[in-house]
Order: sequence, then structure tokens, then C-alpha cells
Amino acid sequence: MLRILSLYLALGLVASAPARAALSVVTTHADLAALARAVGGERVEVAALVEPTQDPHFVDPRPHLMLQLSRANLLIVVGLELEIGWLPTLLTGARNPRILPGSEGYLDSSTLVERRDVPAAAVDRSQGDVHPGGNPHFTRSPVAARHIAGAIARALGRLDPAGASTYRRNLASFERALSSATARWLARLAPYRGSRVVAYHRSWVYFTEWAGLEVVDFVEPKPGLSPDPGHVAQLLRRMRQDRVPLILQEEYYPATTTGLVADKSGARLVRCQGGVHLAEGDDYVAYLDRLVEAIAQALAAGAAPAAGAGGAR
Amino acid sequence: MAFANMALWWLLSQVEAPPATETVPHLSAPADVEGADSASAPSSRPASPAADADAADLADLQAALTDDEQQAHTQRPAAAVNPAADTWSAGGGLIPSSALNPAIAVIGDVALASFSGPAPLQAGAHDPQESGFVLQQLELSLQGAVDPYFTYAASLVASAHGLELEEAYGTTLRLPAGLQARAGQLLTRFGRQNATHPHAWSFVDGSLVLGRLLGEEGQRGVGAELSVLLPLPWYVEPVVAVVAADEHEHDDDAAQALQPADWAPLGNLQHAVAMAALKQFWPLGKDLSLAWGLSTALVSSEHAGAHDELYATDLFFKWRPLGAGDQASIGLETEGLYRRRVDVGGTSQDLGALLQLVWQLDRHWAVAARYEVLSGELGQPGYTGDGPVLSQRAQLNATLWPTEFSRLRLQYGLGVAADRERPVHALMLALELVAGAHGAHRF
Repeated sequence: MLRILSLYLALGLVASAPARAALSVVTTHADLAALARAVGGERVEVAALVEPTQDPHFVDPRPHLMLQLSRANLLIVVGLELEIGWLPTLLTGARNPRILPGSEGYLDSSTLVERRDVPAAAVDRSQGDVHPGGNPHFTRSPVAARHIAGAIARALGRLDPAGASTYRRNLASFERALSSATARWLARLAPYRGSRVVAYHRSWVYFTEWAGLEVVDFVEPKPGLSPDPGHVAQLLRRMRQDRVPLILQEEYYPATTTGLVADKSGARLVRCQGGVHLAEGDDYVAYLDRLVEAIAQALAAGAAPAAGAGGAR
Repeated sequence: MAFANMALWWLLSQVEAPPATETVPHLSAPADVEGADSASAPSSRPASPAADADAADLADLQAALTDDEQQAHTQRPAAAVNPAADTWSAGGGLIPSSALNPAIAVIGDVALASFSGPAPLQAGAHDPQESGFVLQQLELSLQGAVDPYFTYAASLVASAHGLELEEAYGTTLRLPAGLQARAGQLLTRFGRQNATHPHAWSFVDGSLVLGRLLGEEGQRGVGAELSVLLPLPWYVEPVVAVVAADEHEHDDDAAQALQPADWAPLGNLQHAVAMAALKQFWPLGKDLSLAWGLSTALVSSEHAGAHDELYATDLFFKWRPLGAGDQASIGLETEGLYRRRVDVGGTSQDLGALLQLVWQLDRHWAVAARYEVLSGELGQPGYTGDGPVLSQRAQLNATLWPTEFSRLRLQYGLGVAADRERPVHALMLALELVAGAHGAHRF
């Protein structure tokens, strides 16, 4: 009797087991999760530790994130000390040797990118919260995204050889979509090449270099410092003098000051999402589509509303 | 010998092997047995590479391993030197490269305090105890990776008491089954605040309740700790530790010269702390966090038959709405402790609780309030009254962070205790500066 019962129980458990993806991929930034989803497709389970509405420098290392990491086969990080304030605690607590730095399951995307803003001389924190290895905000650049997607495909192929051909196929179709989208974006931004812009944080150099824009000043007086009245006044003077048409900032930075500066200087403010909102079905190409459109509209004189355009939701 | 070999083989097969190559791992493609196994069981613990080998293969491999080990012993040089590292050194080949130095941080805490009377209600060794300037502590913190199996962390603290070792412990990285061990001088993970250092505190001084019940330096000592992250859908982590109690924990009247006849087989473990804790965490959505802990400890004393039993619970609730200006948050924390002290003279009981609220307004400003109450049968030395001694303390402070590395805090406190004639007012202004690379704290 007991034997029959336990057999039924065993069968029930087996029958109710859900279909599992081959690999579990965890990333820090939401953009990396979008790239992993594009390359991995249905064969991988992808999750990002940082919400796109969250500043990736300051994330609470909440213990439940350790659980996600403990089950991961591949961890993709931005690197260049962007996550240094919270990821090591989570990695130590996750107790997953597969994803420790140096393992096959650890992908540091900063090693795939040509770095910008690498300090030539010695740096210290009197210059603000500087990143001594270079600027880590490259996930918004389609050039970097292409390299990172390629490395993700290779890493997934090594961890799951049975799916290697699928990952290569997905990578090829993502690269095709990205190429045609890039041509479209560059054409859309071509009339505004060389435009001067102001950025909130030093997080736009890779994107503006690709898009042909030039960042001339920042709302933060030094990296990591909130804007103070003296600096904002100076910024406003400069923006009027140079007729800077655009301010760029991520949605997780406060907008009151920048909105005021935009109004007073006649510039447009574009608040973009901090990353791809993967949970809402968004993808990398669509995210950049909206951002490029918002910037193009803002740069076209008097064509779009001042704040909250396009990329912001 | 054969048995030892088999035991070693079994142990090695349980531990994850580190990567075979030190070059850019994700771009090269070494054949790695680990990779194939991990693909098949994404939701379970990493599988051992040897699990699937059959018995005959296992025996062959074991023999080959023993052979290799014997060969290595005869061939290995006395000191392993990496010739490549020397070429980077500014010392011109005589000194190893400093690229692998530990992360070093220097943290200074200085305070200006003003108390309304003598004997302020302070229980921490690094609290201001009298009016005037005090260097609460200068902490030198060192952290680094030892090898693929261990990391270490140490903090040396200089203060008016002198130079002392706060913590110095290694942490394992590759134990199986979600296990992790620490060994060395460590603050135990009893409750939430015991294991924290002053630079993580929301107040200038330590908790009165924890200082009185766990000791002025906290529950700390040389020992070992084992914890496991359970494979459950929510975060559950049991922790156990045994530490030989710090010298500071001795009662004043226990200092005696040790005679040969007094030799104790257990040595310093006679005065040890054995603790166990269960930590749990629930994310209640993206904005809310709830952490709950249960802790217990047995503190044995050198005196036969004397010991402390401690039981505690802690709760932490944090609301941090994600979005524009996401540095704002509100945190509510409470810890309740019960101590039963068994001594030759009888038993005594202490019950204490602390409740604190921290409101982080933005990345630069925070206000915090704390209330503590301790009802104990142990008064301060010299107290001659009878009945439980009720102590209460309420504090309010405001903190300014010009950046996350510097902090200025103004705090007012009011303490009332049965063994104090009148309430004690305390006003403190504290500055903290953090220079260098310091790792993240636990949530």
C-alpha cells in the first residue's frame, strides 16, 4: 500500500516538473540581460540583478539576489568597478564557484570594449568618484553591444555545447537586426552630427562618440557629486553662450534641477531609461530606437516636448 | 595510508576545481569538465566532475593522482617564484609586484562629546565616555583574495586603548552544498548589529543593550564559523560558530595566575562562546525588504558551573522606492535579547530591546532615532541597590554625507537608569572619513 502510494507520489512529482531552460544567466545591468536574451533565446533563463530604474552604482545587496546567483551558470558583469560597491558581497554569499571571477561562468564585458576616459595620470577621490580603469557606461553603445553579444554567444556555446549552433544563429540574426538598425539610427542623427550636449553624469561618452554628438559639460560638478547652485549657474551661462540644445540624463537621476536649466537655457531635456525594461517585453534594438528618436526630435528645433520625451516611460 | 588517500580523494572530488587557465578565461576555450556538468543541472548545486566515473576509472585515476603527487614532491622548488611578476616591479626584479596587494582602507572616527554628568550611559569600548574630543577609532582594513579557495579580511583598530585586532579571518569560496566557513578572529553573526563595524552604524555610539549583554567589544573572539545557504525558494541561512572569548570579556574578579594544578584540558575553550543563528530574508516586491533573524548563544565561563544563555531575535524592514533619486529610504530595525546568567551565587536575568528608525532623505542627508531599554539584575560595578535595574536611552541624530566617503553626524541622547541619580544628557558631533578601497557591507 505504502509502496503504491510512494510510486504515485514519485510519478506526480516527475509529471509536475516544469520544463527547464538549459542555462541560467544572471547579469548585473539590464542591458546585458537584453543582450543575453537576444543571443540565448528560449534556451536560457535570463535575469538582471539591477532594475533599469535603479542607479547601478548604488544597489542594496539584498540577500535574495544571492539565491539567484547561487543557481546561475553564467554571470555577466559590466566591470571597471561599476558594481564594486555591492556585487562582491552577493558573490561571496552566493557560494557558487562557477561564477567567481576567473571562472568560465564569469564574463566581464569591460574586457571586450575599447575603453574611454582611462585616466592618463594618477587619480584619487579628490576628483570625485572616479573609475580608475575607465568609463563603465558602455552598454548603451551599439558598437560595444555587438562585441558583448559575440562574447556571450561564445560563453554560452562553451557552457552548453548542444546549443552552440542555436546561439550562433541567434547571434547572427541579432547582428543583422543591429546592423540595419544602426544604419537607420545614424541616418536619423546625421543632420545633427557635431551637436553639443550636456549630460548629467559621465555616462554618455560611448554613445555620443558613436552618434556623432559632443558632450561639453556635466550637471554633476564632479563624478558622484550632486549639482550645487554655483556649478548650475555656471552651467546655465555656458549653455546659453554656446547654445547647447540638449541635456541627457537617465531616469534614476532627479529631474527638477535639469528641468529648470533646460527651461532657462532653451535646451531640451531627454530622460532616458536606465536600461532595457526586459520584464516588460522590451529588447535592446527597440530601446535604442526610442532613445535615438527622442534625441533626434529634441535636436530638431521646436519639434518635441521639453521633458519626458521618447525613451523615458 | 590507503585510507588517507581515499579520504583525500573523496574530499577533493567534493571541492570545485579552480579554472585551469589564468589568461582571459571567457575568450580562450580550455576543455573544462565542469562546463558540461553545469549545463545539465542549472537549478541544483554544481555537480562533481567525478560523480559519473565508474569504479574502475576511479581506481585508475586515484593511482595516477598519487603518482603525480609523489613526483611533484621531489620536483617542486623550495619557494615558488613567478618570474613574470618580477618584471613589472618598480624594485627592478627584487620585490614582487604590488599589483596583487590587498585592498587597503583607512577609516577614521573622531568625535566631540559633551555629557551632563559623570558615568554616561555608554556600553561600547569605542564610545565617547567623557566630554571632550575622542578618537573613537582609526581602522586599517585589509581585504584580498588569497587564492581560488580563500579570501581574507582583517581590521586593525587604533584608539585610546591602544592598537588592537578587531577582526582577522579567512573565508572559503568553494565549499560544496552552499557551505561557507570563516576562521580567525571574528565578530559572530549574533543578531544584526554585532558583526558590524562603527563605519556601518547609523549612530555615533554602539547599542547600550548589545554592549551590556554581549560585551563592550561585542561577541568576538578567535574561532570558526560555518554557514550554509539553503536551496530554498527564499533566503534561509543557518550559522553556527565557536569562538574563544576575548580577554576583554573576562569579569574583573576572574583574573588569576594559572597554577599547574589549575591546568584545564580544554584550555581557552572553557571560556568560549558557542552561537547559532538562523537568518531569513524576504523581498516584498522591488521596494520592500524584510529580514528576520533568530540567535542563541552559550557563553561558558572559567568558573565551573557558570555560564550565560543568550536568546535573541532581530527584525529589519526597509522601504526604498526605486526610481528618480533612488537614494531615499526608510529602515526600521529592532533587536530583542534575553540573557540568563547562571553563577555560583544563583541565576539572574536580563531582558533588553532596541528599536531604531533611519530615514535616508537623499544621498546626502539622513535622520535617525533609537530607543533602547534594558531591564537587568546586573547593575554597574558598585551598585548596591536591589531589584532589577531598568536602563533606558533615547537618541536622535542627523547625518550629512558630502560624499559616500565622508560623514558628519550630530547626535543627542538622553539616558535614564535606576543606578544613576539623574538622567544623563549626551551631545556628540562625529566625523568619519574613509580613504582607500573598502568592500561592501552586508545588507
